[in-house]
Formats: sequence, C-alpha cells, structure tokens
Amino acid sequence: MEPRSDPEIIAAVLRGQTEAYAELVDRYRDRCNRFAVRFLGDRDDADEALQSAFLRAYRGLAGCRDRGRFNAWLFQIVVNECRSLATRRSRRAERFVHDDALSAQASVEHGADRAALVSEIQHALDQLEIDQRQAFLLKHVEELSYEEMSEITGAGISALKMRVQRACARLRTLLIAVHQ
Amino acid sequence: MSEQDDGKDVIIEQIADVLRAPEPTATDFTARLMAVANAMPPATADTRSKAGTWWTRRRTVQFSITPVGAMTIAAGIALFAAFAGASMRQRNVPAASSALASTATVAPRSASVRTDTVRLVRFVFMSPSARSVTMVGDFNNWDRTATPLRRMGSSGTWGVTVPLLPGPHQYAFVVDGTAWTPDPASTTTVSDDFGTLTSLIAVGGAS
Repeated sequence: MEPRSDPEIIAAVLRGQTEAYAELVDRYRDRCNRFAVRFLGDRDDADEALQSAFLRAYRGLAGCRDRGRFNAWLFQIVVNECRSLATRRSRRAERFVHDDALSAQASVEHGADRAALVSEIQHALDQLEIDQRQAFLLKHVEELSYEEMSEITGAGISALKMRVQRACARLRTLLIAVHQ
Repeated sequence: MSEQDDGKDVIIEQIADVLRAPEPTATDFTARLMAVANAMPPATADTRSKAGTWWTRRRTVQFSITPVGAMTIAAGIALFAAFAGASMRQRNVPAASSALASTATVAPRSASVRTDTVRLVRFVFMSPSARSVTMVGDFNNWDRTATPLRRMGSSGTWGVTVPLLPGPHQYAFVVDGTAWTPDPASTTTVSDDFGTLTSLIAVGGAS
C-alpha cells in the first residue's frame, strides 16, 4: 500500500486521529536527528531538542499552512529548537567547565578508524560559533540552497554566505592543525 | 555562489561526507513522544481560529441571550439601535460585565483555551545512583508510574518534558519507586497536611 502523503496525515491528525502523527515522526525523525546531533554534538541534547521540536510541531500543526511542505516547516522548528538549546547550554557551560564527553573526544587517537574521524570532526565543529556551525551544517550537510537557509534562519543570504565561508576556513585550520 | 566562495574544496567535502552519515534516533523515540502528545489536548484544525475569536465568542453568547436584541432586530434596524442602546444602559451592562468576568475565570478549563495555552516544561533531576526516577504532581493525579524520567547519558542526569497548563503546579520526584523527593533546584517548597514536601512551579500564560 502506498504510504500516505504528509497532507493526508496532517488532515487525519487534525480530525482527531492523534496516533497518525507517529507516521510523520517516523518519516522525519532520523533526518532531523542528524542535524541535531551534529549541531549540538551530544545525542542526549539532540534527543531533548527533537522531542521538544516534534511536540511544538504537533501543537502548532493547524498553523502549517502549506501542508505539502511540512518537511521544511518542521525542519525550521527543529533548527530553532536546537539553537535555543545550544544557547542555553553555552550559558550552562560557563558554570560547569568540566565536560567528560569532550575530554574523551579529545583523547581519541586520530585517524584510527571512522568513529575517531567523526569524533575529531565533531570536536572541530563544536569549536565554531553557533551561527557558523548552523550555516555550515545547513549548506554542506543538509545541502540546502541559500534561499532555503534564509527562509529557515531568517538571516540574509550574504550574511549566510559569510558564515559558511568563515566556518569552512575555521574547520580547515582546526583539522589541519590536528594532523600536523 | 562559486565553489571558491563556498569554500567547497576537497577537505570540506570530506568533512561534509563524514557528517552526512545517518544518525538514527533512539528506538523508543516515537513512543516517548507520542506518550506526551497523547497527554496533550488534541491538535484540531480549528484551534487557531478559536483562539483568535475568544472575545468575539463570548460577546456573541451574551447578545444571543438578550431577548430585547431579538425583538428589536425584528422591529427594524433603526429601532434596534435606539432600543438596544437604551436597553443595555438600563439593565444589561452590569450583568454582562459580571458574566464576562465569570466566563473568563472558567475559560482555562475549556478544551479550546487549553490547547492554546499549554506549556511544555522540561524537568531535570540529578542522581547518578538512581535506578529509576519518575514525577508525581497535580498534572498526573500523583501517579508514580505516569511520568517516568529518562536517563541522559552516564552523567546521572534524568529528564522529562511535561505539558502543563498555565498556573501553579505542585510536583515531586520519586527515586527508585519509593523515595519522594522535592525538586532540589526549586526555591519554593510547600508542605501538605501530613508534612509531605512538594515543589511548586508557576507556569506562565500565553506565548
């Protein structure tokens, strides 16, 4: 049987079939999770941000005007939720300097395997400013156009290009320095 | 945008390729989410329009129960304006104000207002040694099994997101099924008639 389209599922949820929302969650959760994990650098934080984002989307489902573009609407909520959590976390980090997870990542032997490579890149990504990290992930990992990025973040296209450029330069510096 | 401007070179492509690897969510992600969603008021198509016409609906109700209004509509628009104005001044204004205040007081209990004002509140509890942590509160009828917290990593942090209506709520944590613990992070603790301590949280109003 053909899977139901997003607008069909949304209509079902709004008719009171709450359980139908699980279909939308299952359809998009992994893609959203990839962004959240990369952006926040922590699976538990990503889980928290995603739970919150999907619940916000559920609450506001009637406000999703273009139901055919639910994916983009949801992703915008996810990006905003991740950003809010990252901001809160950065304030928290000012109080709790010790971070076991980061220390463990730092001690991973470089180049040993792909997991170590992911850790190394993630560690470099975590060093970027929030704006730059967000722009880099949207452009190079989610492979969005600058117009789509602008729609999601509310930032201007030239500002986004600058952020991506600076993020790339910083990542190059960080990762090349590690291997020298 | 050229590739040069994007900084899209070999190193960046390699980095992006690694970061594009799938990142599956926890297997119980959807079940946890739907448990919370099911506890919330249903997402209905007319939620937003109801919120937007909150005052209008109440005014409509008041006019509809004014027999003088109905009579004057039948009698003609000109007569209606004069007669309804006089009627409101003479009899209905105090009663209407009173009804409005009364209606506003009970409004948070209605489903439509609940849908628009429910707040998602994140609770976090620190206990590295706990085997389980749940929440009890007025929002779940003090049911020790209804709102379990999820352990986040190995740091001993437990968390749960709970939908709450605006207003004050009493709550506590239950560690390992038995140890009733008010929130250590809360500055407001209250005691019931039996001396049991609970924490108090004030959830804000409209967004």
